[in-house]
Amino acid sequence: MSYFSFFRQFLQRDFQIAVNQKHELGLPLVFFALILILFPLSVGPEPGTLSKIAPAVGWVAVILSFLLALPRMFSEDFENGWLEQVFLSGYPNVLSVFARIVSFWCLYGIPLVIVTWLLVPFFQFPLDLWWVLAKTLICGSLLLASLGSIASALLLSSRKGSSVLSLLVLPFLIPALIFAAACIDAASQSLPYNAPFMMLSGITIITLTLAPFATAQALKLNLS
Amino acid sequence: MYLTGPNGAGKTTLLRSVCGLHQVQSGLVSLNGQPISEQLSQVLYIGHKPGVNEWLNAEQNIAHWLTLTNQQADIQTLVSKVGLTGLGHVPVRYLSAGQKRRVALVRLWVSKAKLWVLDEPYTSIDQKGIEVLNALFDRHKKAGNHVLVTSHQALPTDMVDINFNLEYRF
Repeated sequence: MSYFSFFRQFLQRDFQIAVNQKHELGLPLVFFALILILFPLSVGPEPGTLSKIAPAVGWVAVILSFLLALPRMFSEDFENGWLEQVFLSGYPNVLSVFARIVSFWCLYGIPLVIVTWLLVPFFQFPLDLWWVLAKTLICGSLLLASLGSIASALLLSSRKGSSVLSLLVLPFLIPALIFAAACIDAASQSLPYNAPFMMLSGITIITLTLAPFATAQALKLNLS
Repeated sequence: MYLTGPNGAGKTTLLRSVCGLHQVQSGLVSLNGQPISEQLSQVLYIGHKPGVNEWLNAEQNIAHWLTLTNQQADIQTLVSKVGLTGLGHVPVRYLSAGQKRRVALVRLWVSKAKLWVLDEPYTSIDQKGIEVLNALFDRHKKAGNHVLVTSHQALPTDMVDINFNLEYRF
C-alpha cells in the first residue's frame, strides 16, 4: 500500500469513528457557541465594545474549545490497542501522526472556525474583518492541532494529564496569538496585513512539519 | 512456545519486547538472524488490548486492520469464521467480551506472519472457541511457523514444544 493510501485510510477511519461519536464532536462546538452567546449578555449591548473585543473572544474561545478535545487525540487508540497495531505495521509512525493531526483539524478546527461567524451577529463584528479573523484561525487551529498532538502524546499515560496539557500548549501559542492580533489590528485600519499573516503561516507550517516527529517519539515512549 | 509464570513475572513485558513495543535495556531481539524491528511484517501481536475500536462495527474494524497490514480477504467469510455471523454490522461496543475478542482474533485467519505473539488469547473465549484456536495454532506450527503464547489456562501438552516459565522476583 502506498503512503498516500495509508494516509487516506487513516483519515477515513477517523471520520468513520467521528460519525459514530457525534456527542464528542459536538461538545467543543456547543462550548464555543455558549461563550459567544453569553459574552454579549454579560458585557452589555454597547456595539463599539463588543466589536472591539470580538477577535480576542473568538481566538480565546477557539483555543479553550480545542483544548477540550485535545486529550482525546490519541487516548482512545492507545487504550484499545490500535496504536500498537499501527506501530507494528511497519509504516512510518510520522505518517500516521500527520494523518491524525489533519483529521483532528478537519473534525474540530474547521467547524470551530466556521462557528466563529456567530461573532458577526452577536458582536456586531464587520463581515470583512471576520474573514481576516477566520483566516488567522484556520492557521491557528492547525497550529493548535500540531502542538496539541505533542502534548497529547506526552501525557497519554497520565490519567490527570488534561490540566497539564493546557500548560504545555499555551506558551507556544503566544507568538501565534500576537501575529493574529496584529493581522486583525492592521485589517481594522484598512492596512495590509500580509506580513504578520505570513509569519503566522510560517510558524504553522514549521510546527506542522516538525510536530509529527516529536509526537511519534512521544507515542513510542508511552507504548513501551 | 508456551510462556508461563505468576502475575507480575514479566510475561507481557517479554512478549512486548519480542515485538519491539517495549524497548529493552540491553540485548537484541532477532528473528532468523535479522533484528525484529526490520521484520515487523513477520510478526502478529495480539495483546491484552484487542486493537478494536468499540465505536466501529466488526466489519469496519476488520477492514481497517486488513488495509493497515496490506492484506486482502473476504470480510463476510472472516466474520462467519469467528462465529459472528449476522453481527458484522453491530457496533463492537454492543458485543459481549468474548465476541469483542473474536473480532481481534480474526487476524489469525488472515495473517501471513511467521511468528504469532499472543498474550492471553483465550481470555473470554468459550470452550469451542478455544478448540478452534488450538487447531489454528497447530496448523500454523505444522506449516513451519512459530506461536509464542502466554496463558493462565493449561495448553494441551502435545501442542507445546517449549514451556518457558518466568519466576516472579521482587
